[in-house]
Amino acid sequence: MAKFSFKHSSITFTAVADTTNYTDAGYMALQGGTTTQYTKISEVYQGGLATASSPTFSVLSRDSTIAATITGLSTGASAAPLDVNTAALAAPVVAFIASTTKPQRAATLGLLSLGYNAFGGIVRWVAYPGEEIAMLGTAANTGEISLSAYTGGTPGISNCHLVFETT
Amino acid sequence: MTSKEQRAGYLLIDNRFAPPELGIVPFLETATHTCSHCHRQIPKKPEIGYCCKCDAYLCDRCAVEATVTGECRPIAKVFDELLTAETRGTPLPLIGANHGQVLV
Repeated sequence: MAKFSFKHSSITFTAVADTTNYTDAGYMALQGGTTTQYTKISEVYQGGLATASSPTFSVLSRDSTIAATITGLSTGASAAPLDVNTAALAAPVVAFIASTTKPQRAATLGLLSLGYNAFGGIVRWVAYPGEEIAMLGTAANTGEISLSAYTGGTPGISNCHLVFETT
Repeated sequence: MTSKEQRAGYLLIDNRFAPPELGIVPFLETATHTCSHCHRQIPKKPEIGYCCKCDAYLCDRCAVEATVTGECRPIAKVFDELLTAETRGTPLPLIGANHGQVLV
């Protein structure tokens, strides 16, 4: 097991409805590296950086349409092990914010509602060890989890991270 | 031996320094429980779904389904079925066929 942090220093979520294509650089998502890879999310953090009131209806959810042809992370975003001694994985979990085939949030598989005001608001969720949110493989509904903004409000810039552990 | 209450997660939503907005709670600090059947997070509340078969808390949706179907289907079991099918190269099971859309 190795723990990683997927962070974005300054991301502005794009508000989209369920089962609607995400917009590149408007969400953060994790997808299994192999069809049998088991991953657990143990922490979600959002810190608002907006300079005006920005209600952001963030949702952590499973995706009913998974991304394909994923684009590598760009400036500001990274996924790195928490421990410097972590061995490189042959097939690490894929952390991404852009892809050719866009992922879509499942309508009925929401995991956590994290609505907040990005003008100074803070959100943090931490799981008790053994009670994390798990995902498996690369299939729709089970193999991809995303942090995104639901329709409504005016999502503001924020810095975020997801801590996850994978096998 | 730990109780289920001790196994709660932690959720903080702090908007005290932000202007009030409709739909945004000013401040929330609460324990969360993990639904055994779908891993949805359930903020602590007086009445919470419970599955006596897997001895774990359930979200409202899974609690209704467990009551209607009488079946306990933890997500660990779902993942196990998926792994088994993947390893054997057999078709993936129709997960949730009788469980609404919890995990289709």
